[in-house]
Amino acid sequence: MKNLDKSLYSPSFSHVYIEKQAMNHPNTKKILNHFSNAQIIEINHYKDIFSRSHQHYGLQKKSPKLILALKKDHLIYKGAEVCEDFGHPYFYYTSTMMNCIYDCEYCYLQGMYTSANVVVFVNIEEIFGEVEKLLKKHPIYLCISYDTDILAFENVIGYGREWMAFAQKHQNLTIELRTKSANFKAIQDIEPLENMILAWTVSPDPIIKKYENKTPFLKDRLISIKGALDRGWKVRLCFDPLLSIEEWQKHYKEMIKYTFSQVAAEKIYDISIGVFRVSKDYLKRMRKQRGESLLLSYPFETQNGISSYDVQQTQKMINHVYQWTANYVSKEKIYI
Amino acid sequence: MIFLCTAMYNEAYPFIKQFNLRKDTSHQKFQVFKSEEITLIITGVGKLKGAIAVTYLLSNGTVNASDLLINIGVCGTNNTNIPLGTTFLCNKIIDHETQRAFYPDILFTHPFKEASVETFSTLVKDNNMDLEGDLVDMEASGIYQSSTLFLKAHQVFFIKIVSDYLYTDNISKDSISKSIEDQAIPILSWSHKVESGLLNNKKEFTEKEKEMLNQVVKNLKLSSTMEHQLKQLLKFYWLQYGTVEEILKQYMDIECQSKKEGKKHFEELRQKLI
Ligand code: SF4
Repeated sequence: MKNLDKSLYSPSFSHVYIEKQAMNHPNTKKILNHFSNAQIIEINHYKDIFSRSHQHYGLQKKSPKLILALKKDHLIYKGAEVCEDFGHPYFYYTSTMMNCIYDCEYCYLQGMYTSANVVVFVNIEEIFGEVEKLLKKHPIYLCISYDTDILAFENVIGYGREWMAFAQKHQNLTIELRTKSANFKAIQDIEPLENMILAWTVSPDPIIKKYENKTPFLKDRLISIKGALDRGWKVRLCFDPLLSIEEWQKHYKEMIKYTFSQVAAEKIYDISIGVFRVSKDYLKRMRKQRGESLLLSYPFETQNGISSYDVQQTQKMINHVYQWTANYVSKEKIYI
Repeated sequence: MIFLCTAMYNEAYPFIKQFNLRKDTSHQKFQVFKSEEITLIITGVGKLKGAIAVTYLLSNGTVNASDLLINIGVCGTNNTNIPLGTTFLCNKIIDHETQRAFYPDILFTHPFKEASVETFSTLVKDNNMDLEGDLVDMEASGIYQSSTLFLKAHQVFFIKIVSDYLYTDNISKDSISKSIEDQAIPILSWSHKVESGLLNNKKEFTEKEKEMLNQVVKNLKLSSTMEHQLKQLLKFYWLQYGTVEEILKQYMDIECQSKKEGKKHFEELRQKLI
């Protein structure tokens, strides 16, 4: 089936759609160097293609296209309720990209966006400008890789690197860069920063194989994590989203044991633990996209608009994973 | 089903001939030709006629996730470097009058070159005119807008064969058919490949299971919220075990006298399904 898909579907980024106004931006040129065989199509506004109503997210994931645009509004957002804020009162996030190159079955983006195409906003300097304005008012905790995976795309656009240079200039800014990639090598030459946290989502291999399509295996993520720790970076591990699948205890227990056999637990900055949770409306759309997903058809409970496992199951999973983790890492470092 | 639409009979003729399409005389307003796998409609020239014909065609029955709509026709260009007879798959359609642009999704590999097409309401005869699109036609923008009311953007295709450099006076009807003739087989064999790749293997409850579910909803006097919950629970169970017949059978003969009694049974059924 996979081979049939390969010959039927155009390769990823076979087409690059570029806003007229973004055509001459230096980042556009930089990105296009990586896609010399792509068809280039000029567009007026990224929403003309990204926000069309008659798209098929699931099929587009098999042949995602790239859209290069200028971000003109909402350059920075207040953090959403479902996100762990790690106790920071000024918790924000920003999207220099939308969608990602991976294809996780549980990804909430398939409920949030109508398109699976990847958008890169090339005018990152304007986003920096907006953050600087806010920084004049108060310190900021900023997540830069929420609706995407910036590090997975680092070789193409190098936004991780740009954010690091920006963070270095602003000590009252703390940045979290979250990833599932095994791509630390792309930034390993950069001196570690006090105000930047590299956060890795860590999952058991059976879950990666089944539900985190196209993402690197645990072993490879851990090699990257180890590289970052050895270099002196602050590293956050995210055991999140925990999935209630068959034998979840066994899988998560083994993953935690294996993780701390590979990386020095005392070097970890902190750990966040959370079960799968998503807004009720997104879940509805996600189920439509993946009608045959056992994972998504689970009879979740909805409270205050958020769907997740019931309280008992949630607590059971969190408690177990918390206890197993606490065998290696001091409890003050674990956020649930 | 592969739906083909052409503006003129001469554009349709190579397909009618090579694929043995029979005229469907039940249609009075448009000429429709059919085989088991192909339905072809002749829309008439112009984007409005194109939109009306395609709406007529696609609203005549149900469309499926593997259906394709292909607009095939000759087009002009002012780029004389493009050899006459070159076949293009359009990745952008610009409506000249409104300046709106539309983008069919190009998800599948294909043997054609790609280009943009600009749709005009009137015949373009001036080859010095400043054009937005690489190609010029008279239907694509109308057909895109109407077809995507029924189909997704990856199910609609615009295949244009260059017939002239915008001097249209010397194009004969025969030469139009000739331009398309060589392309008919490659276009159709590619379309079949795409169609079979899209064939929906989606599994769902059997008719019997659906009937049983309706009966159980009645028997247990379930509210619409509970009915929705039950469907979700059954789906979860069904994805694991492939059937819900056995479990529903246990509730086929229960007739609850009150909603309260139904709720009790519903809770019990819920426990069985999780
Ligand atoms: S890595 Fe994150 S953003 Fe990318 S598909 Fe997976 S869940 Fe979605």
